[in-house]
Amino acid sequence: MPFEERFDLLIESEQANEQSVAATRLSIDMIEKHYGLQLTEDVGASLVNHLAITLRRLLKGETLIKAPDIVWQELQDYPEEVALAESIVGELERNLNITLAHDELGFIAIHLCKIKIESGLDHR
Amino acid sequence: MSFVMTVLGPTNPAAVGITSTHEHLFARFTSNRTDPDTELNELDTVVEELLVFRQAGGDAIVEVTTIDMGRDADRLAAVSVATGVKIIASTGFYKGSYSPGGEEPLHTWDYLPESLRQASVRQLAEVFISEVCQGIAGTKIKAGIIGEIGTSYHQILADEEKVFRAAALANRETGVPISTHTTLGTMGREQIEILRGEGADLGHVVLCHMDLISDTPYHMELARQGVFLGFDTAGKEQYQSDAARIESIRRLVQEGLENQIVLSCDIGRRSQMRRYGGRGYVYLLDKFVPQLEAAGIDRATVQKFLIDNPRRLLAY
Repeated sequence: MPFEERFDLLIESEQANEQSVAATRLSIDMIEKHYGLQLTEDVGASLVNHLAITLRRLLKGETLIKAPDIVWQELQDYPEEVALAESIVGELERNLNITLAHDELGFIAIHLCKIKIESGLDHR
Repeated sequence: MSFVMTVLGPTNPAAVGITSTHEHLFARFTSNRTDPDTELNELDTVVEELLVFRQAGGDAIVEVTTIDMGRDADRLAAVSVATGVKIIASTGFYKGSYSPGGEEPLHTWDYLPESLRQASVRQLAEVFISEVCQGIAGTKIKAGIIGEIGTSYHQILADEEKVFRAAALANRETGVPISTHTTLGTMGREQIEILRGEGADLGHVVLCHMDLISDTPYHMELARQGVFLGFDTAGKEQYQSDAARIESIRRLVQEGLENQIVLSCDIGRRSQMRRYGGRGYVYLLDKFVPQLEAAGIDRATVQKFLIDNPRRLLAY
């Protein structure tokens, strides 16, 4: 399923909105440029879902999930993904005029790890 | 094109990886709430569990908590968004409260809600179809399976039969798969008879808890009718040893029935989660699968149990 179709479904199901989808598109660009790959349904759908839905929740003032310790433990092995997540969070905060909790940075980085692993870029 | 319906929308079946086909993430196994162990309601605990499951290679969980067990579609979507684990939510009603030997009932809540006790098969089917096609309980989150719908120990109560017939109708009209609870593995033949009688597609039916009965001829008879068999209580040694589960699986593989087997743990108590000292959802991948391979079941066959077979079961 192309991401635009996924966005339509998420908006239709009221899990995302136009604003969160627009911000997610910007993040996709950043990730694709960073890794030099094109995100697809197989590699990237979970992050696309995550951003589109989480940003909409944040914009509505809903409480987000706290990242458990296991998130930070896993990220100790992925400093590149933490740095990329920091850049993405910075862009999102500027674009949407919001503040993202540190927990959210952790979840974004975890999804980036998944992309790295599933796209065969994790050579450790 | 077929799809697997997750709580975040339809997904290409080819994008669905290792799947546990019978789990509970948020559920209430008692109505009086006197025993906190019977209530799964901790968002943080579930997020942690799913991250561990994902780290071990897990990709999807079929969450077979029914309407009467306290299914929570919003929370399922929230933990799927956070962790990236795909979750297939259910519709349906569990089973009557009859229990073997007259001991404490297996659960103590009302099976069918007051408003549906007099409902016809058609009316029950409409409930399921609505949750599959429109969304669960006022949300736009759609159910991707009907289950776990159950029968009692060595018998099928009247309301249970009604629910089975309704599920078959919903399957016939939408294609949505069905997951059944067999109490200690009993009544598999009768479940198939009811579902087939109503025109259900047995290729999208899984009979669960087949590992609680060690009877290979019985397993073979059921599998040869096209249903999947759920070996889905991995690690519940108090009911059956993993060694016995694996021996049953090995025999079915020898008979060429490896395409009909799916696996899971059926976590249903707080004490079964890792935070509380339990084995967690990851047990399937970090403990049970290595035991399967040590018993001589090759990796390609195990991949069928974990990926190929669940995809065929779930895609419609």
